Amino acid sequence: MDDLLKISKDNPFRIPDGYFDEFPEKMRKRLESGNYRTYRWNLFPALKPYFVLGIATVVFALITYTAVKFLTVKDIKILTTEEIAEMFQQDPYDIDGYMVEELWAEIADSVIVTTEIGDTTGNTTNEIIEYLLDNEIDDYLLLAEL
Amino acid sequence: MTHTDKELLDLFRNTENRNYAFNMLVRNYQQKLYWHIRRIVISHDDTDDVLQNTFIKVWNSLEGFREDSQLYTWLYRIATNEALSFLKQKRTRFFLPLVDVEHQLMESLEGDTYFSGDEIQHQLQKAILSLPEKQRIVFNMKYYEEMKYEEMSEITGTSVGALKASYHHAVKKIEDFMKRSVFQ
Repeated sequence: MDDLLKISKDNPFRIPDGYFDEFPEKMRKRLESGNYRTYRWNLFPALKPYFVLGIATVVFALITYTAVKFLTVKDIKILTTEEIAEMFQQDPYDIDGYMVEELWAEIADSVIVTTEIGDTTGNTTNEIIEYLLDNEIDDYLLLAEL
Repeated sequence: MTHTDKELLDLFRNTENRNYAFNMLVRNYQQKLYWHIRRIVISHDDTDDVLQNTFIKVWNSLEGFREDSQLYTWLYRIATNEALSFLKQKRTRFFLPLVDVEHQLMESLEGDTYFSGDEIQHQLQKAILSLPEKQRIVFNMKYYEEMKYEEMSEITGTSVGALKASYHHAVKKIEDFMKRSVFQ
């Protein structure tokens, strides 16, 4: 208590000039105006923290769901040959000649082709494709054979 | 012309003299209530709002005042509750209690045009603001307003013994704060 007693009790706070002279009149006018409802029942301030927590939880759940959905590796379906052929027949992707050439190239690389044109040894992929094109072999028939 | 509290109450209950009685009541108690509130909410503008709300509540409730306590302590109780409600509203204005209202009040002292204390006074006010709300009120009433414990007990609804203990602890905390910041 000794240290506290060393400190002056002078009031460090100030007020505007004439404040207490004017305050009674200010109160009188306010009461006369009828503007003296001091309490407005407002549930929102009390519920606001819970409201915000709820919104935050929903947003977090949405972000988590979206992130998991996009980051999850999807199962790659391996198509059978018959399914591939059916796809070409339906032509849902508007397959053009260039796409077919690429497909032939892949097939030629993975399949040993034995044809009447001769020994496959030394035949390049391009030669096979050229042969097929020159002889106007139908794409769909080729795939059906495969 | 001065009136006692009893006379003012009787005048107020007479509808013809109500405005005059209330005006006298405001003039008699505005300063005491103002400074009591000001030490709680710090800012002059906030104090003005709380003081007006206090007197409005008095206007609405005075007719039903049962005189089971002194008018003076009844007025102080209303002013204290209004100031505490104001601080509570300030807290709930934020989404989550992340902002320390007392810290805000401390910062409001910095550069406040209506605060003219020196550095020691500044540190003292910060020390007082570091106390829990109700302990702060007890300290202010005893230290600055030099109230008797019995009057404080009527205002706060707390026992005299608890108030004495609260004040003793408040003084200790403030002295420790001041030693760390000023009296080194």
